Amino acid sequence: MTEYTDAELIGLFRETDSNRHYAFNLIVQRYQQRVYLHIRRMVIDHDDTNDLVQNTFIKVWQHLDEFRQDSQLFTWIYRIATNECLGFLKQKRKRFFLPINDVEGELNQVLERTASPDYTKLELKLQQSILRLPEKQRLVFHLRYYENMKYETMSEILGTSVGALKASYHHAAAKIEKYLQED
Amino acid sequence: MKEVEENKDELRDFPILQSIGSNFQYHAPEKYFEKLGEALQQRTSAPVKKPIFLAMIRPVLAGTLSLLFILGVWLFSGLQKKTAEHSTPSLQQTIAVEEIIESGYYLELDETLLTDALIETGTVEAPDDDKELEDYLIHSTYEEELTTAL
Repeated sequence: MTEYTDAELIGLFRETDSNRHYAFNLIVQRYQQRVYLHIRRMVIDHDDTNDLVQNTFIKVWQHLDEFRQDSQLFTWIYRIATNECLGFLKQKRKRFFLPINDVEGELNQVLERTASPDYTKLELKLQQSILRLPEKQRLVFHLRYYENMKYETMSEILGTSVGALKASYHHAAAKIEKYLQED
Repeated sequence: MKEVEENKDELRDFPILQSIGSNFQYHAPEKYFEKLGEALQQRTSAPVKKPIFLAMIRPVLAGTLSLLFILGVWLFSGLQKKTAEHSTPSLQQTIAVEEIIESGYYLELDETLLTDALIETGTVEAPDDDKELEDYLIHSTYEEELTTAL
């Protein structure tokens, strides 16, 4: 199978109707796992993640013609996925009139229910500690700690300055370390 | 690799976090990613639904209802204001005798005051006190009874 670059895939997507589906399928295959993990870390539940992953790729399908390629394709897809996550969590709070703490509590319950037996106690506790962070700080922590993403790329996705992201990551790490030391 | 090293370096002040590492992964159900492609294929192949009439007129409907609501509030508050003005006349306001007669309020007024007012405006003639007394004495059966008794 020919290994297309992102730019080539975008070109293919814009060519003809049949190529459109083919190129889109390749884009999905290339990024689905990363997008899935990115969303799953934020919303925890698999079914919610599935809905958001599908919504993300449907938006890619609908708007790829308008994508100006100022940034990398994956940065753009991550930005869509991130907006989907934040929108979902916001809606969840509004729908059930839940304060932030209750949404985290609910996510925590889902985490405990669905946690794999392979996870160590410390790993699980780390996940619970991450859930205690504010949403945007949580995003920053995930992207840096688990994906080792460059601050410059994170800045493109989250629309925040590199300096602010570094500070946010440091604060998040300090809080988590404190939570981990508590018990 | 450079990013991984940088990240480790950033966590040097947080030994527990550094020791855990970033191996934790969420797992998707089996064959989820194979099915995801198919699900997306179905969604992208479906014909685009044209917006239905209700969806198209919804913003216009919402706008009209909002305007009607604002108009209603405005009219109601105007009416309230008018009622308040009528129900509390100023203490300085003088009420003409004719207005009292027309309004029918005189029924609740003191009879002598009313009579005075009516005489003043010429609506009724002033009573002749002597004649009235004379009539009373002549026609009063009570007095007759008294006289007889005496």
